[in-house]
Amino acid sequence: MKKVLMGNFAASHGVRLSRAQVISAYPITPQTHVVEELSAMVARGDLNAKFIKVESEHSALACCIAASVMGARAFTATSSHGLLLMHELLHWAAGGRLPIVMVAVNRAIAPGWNIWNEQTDTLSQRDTGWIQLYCASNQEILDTVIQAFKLAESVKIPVMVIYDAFILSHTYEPVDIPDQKVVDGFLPPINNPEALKVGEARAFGSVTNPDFHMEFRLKLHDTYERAMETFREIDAEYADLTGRSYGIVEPYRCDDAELIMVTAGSLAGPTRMVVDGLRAKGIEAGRVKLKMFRPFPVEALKEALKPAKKILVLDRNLSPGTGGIFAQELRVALKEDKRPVWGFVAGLGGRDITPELIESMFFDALGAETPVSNTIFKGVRL
Amino acid sequence: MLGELIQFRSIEELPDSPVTLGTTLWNPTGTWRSVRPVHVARLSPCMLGCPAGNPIESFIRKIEEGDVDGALALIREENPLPAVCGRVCFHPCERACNRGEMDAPVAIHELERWVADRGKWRPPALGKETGKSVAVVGSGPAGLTAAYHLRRLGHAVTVFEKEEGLGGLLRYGIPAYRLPKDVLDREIGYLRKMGIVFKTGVTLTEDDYEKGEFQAVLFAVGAQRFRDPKLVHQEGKGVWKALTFLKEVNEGKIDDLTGKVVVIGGGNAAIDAARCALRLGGTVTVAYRRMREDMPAFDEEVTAAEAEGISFVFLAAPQSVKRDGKGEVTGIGFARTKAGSLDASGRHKITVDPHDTFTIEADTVILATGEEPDEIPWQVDYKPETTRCETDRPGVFVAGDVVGDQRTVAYAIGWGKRAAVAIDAFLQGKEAELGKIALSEGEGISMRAYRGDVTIPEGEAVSFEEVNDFYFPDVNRANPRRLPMAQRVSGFKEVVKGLSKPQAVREAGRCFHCGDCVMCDNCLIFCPDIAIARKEDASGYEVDLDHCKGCGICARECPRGAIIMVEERV
Repeated sequence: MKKVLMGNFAASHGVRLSRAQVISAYPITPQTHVVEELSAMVARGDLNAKFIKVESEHSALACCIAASVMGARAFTATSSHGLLLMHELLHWAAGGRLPIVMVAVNRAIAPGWNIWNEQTDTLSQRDTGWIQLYCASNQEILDTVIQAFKLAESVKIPVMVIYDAFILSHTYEPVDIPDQKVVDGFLPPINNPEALKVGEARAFGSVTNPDFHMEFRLKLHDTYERAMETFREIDAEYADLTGRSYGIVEPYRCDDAELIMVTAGSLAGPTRMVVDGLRAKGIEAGRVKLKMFRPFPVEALKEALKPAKKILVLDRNLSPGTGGIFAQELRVALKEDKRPVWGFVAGLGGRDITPELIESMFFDALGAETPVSNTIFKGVRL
Repeated sequence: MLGELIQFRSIEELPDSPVTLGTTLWNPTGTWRSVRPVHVARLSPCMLGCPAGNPIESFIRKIEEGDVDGALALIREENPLPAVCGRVCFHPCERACNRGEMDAPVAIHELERWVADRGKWRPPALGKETGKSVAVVGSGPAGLTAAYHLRRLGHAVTVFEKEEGLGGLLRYGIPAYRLPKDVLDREIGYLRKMGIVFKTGVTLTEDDYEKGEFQAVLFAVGAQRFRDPKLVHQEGKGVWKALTFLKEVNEGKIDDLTGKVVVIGGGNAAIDAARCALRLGGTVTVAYRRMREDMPAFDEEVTAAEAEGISFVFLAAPQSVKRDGKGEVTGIGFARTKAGSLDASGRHKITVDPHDTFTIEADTVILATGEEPDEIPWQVDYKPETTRCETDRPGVFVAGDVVGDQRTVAYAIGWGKRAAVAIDAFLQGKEAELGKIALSEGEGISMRAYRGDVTIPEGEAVSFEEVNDFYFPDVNRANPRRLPMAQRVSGFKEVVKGLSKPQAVREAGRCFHCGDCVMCDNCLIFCPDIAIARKEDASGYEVDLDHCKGCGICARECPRGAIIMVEERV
């Protein structure tokens, strides 16, 4: 069934179809709609779940952790400062190997106080051990939420489903809502044999001395790496059922591209448009959309970028003093490579990234052998 | 304790995350504690506020449990006149109610009335017959209450009432629009069913008493002696004493009072007389020598009188009754007064300016200038406010308005209970231990505690700061249905019609149940150390002190102050 939904509601429907059993969240713009709609779904009886109101994001994730330890399918949603407040518990969830799914809507971090789009919030949580999946459309949000539960439960690692504030969260697009039966066939009820059972005392996250702490981390790391392959399988299975898949990375007109721009999230749309325009002008441009950021898909990126002579990265985020975080990660991945990488930072705090601005990045790279600097700010006013 | 050492041979053998295979009970985290939680029963402030010692918080809980009959039985353990009290008491309990600091106090008096009107009366258990007989002189609330509790304690009781009807001021003072007479009859009827003997139109003489039929006598004769303002030309027709006026109205002897009526005074009798005069057709003005806020009358009564169209004149000291040549009243001469600073009772001191005078026209004057305690016609002497109700003559006791200066029904009931305890102790030849049955610093005592059925919690009542108001959603205080205004002023039908069942149930739900654990499990749920458990008999909670770290979350999350933190002593 097709409906015109805003990105946040697409996420709610994904959670409903996934039959989440415990939802706990604290409202924060631009995420609030997600859990508001879920609370309405629970109230209406459309979703049989416990909806736990809490006083902070820290408690929201704590509730999800407790629910997940008990073997329930748990969901939360947050953004920006809410996500930062969860930071400690993000580690607890991943270290506890709890298959929680979270929607994180990318919003800038204060000061100055800013509710608009920027990816620094989720990217600053990259080392917590959560899988991160970035979405480029409302349809992709709904589909990715469903996939995320399957992925999380397959590898016992929590997953963040990430999309851009307002550009997706508050924007309406036609979205195909799969049948419940289809989703049920894809995503069976959660089954965690290690979940806490009544009558069997366990303490989770108990003291681990130097004899073992490292081994637990090694085990998490190994499984984390394998999650990439698991997601590929899940994505393929989802495609069989719905006709839609997104891949770990999505190359666009890259096969013969001399210039390839790498970006993530909703920027996948305008960059594709710019690539088409450049192609019409005879410039061999391509674009790679990065869906999975954690674990970082080094091999898939290398493959997609193979034809390129010059690589561009468009970051709507900033690690101050270092530059765009995607660019930084990519440079490490391509460390053996001699090809130049242009690291563009644009659109911080919700400033528009226009097609003209994107095009100017391609022309920058076209007109020089190497970038003028590691990090190039675009669209700066002063 | 630590179990056997597990050897992991590969990463695969290792669990996904650190987890124990048993409990963590081996770790006695209780040793970290410097304060410990103690689950306690505490008094709620409403009970301290009730001079009659009503079991307020617990009867409200019975309503919430759907047990109206049980609620009635519970109130009647302490107070034999709940239908009366629920209507006429000035409810000091509600001023004490912690909920008042959040939105508005629980409408306790309305709930008491609702229980008394809706609950089914069951004969209470009586103590073993003692073979002793007690005479009670006066059938007002103090006398009725003493008679009731003495009978409950197994004594034979005879009540002597000099009037033809029982109830004292309840019958002859309080008008029917506040207290319908059938309501009073119903509650007195229950006392009769318990075997209390009532003799009306007679009094007990000293000679009769000395014949030895009674081993003790209680004088609860009230305060009806007219405090005479001695106005010029006061004597003669057209001038009433308030209590006489009210008695005649209550007896149905006056059915018409057209013309201008001026009531002198600011107490409850003044307002009662004014509202009666209005209902009989008069145009009524109340004149008081101090200010509105100084009136001893209950504020709700004054407000109701104002709403009904009664005029008020303040700072007016009556001087003389004006009469025409035929002796008919034409008005009252007043001198204006000036309000000064507050006196010890919190009212304005006034000074009369004899040169600043004015007249209010009147056809009828009602003098409600106060009453003095009645005299006991026997050779006895007693100290005012003697909480042991004793006189200089063994076996002769006093209670109610005759001895106390807080002259309200609730105080009278409190007096009746103290008298019952004093007389019972006297008949048993023992000393009454008032300390064990007193509701902390409150005025009331507990007859259940006296009979040994309950123990009164010690310590201070729960304060609002100890209530966790997060757990109590906003609910408006119940507003009882009332008679339409036109019907109110045209007759003596009861004005306040009481709560509906849904109103009463919702109102009961507003109660915090301060200090009285309702087994909500909050402490247990919030304890991060899982160190709180329900007692097996569900009588409360016990704390696992081997593991409780003393964090205090249980006390914080207790909605009603039933867990306190006590410092550990080393």
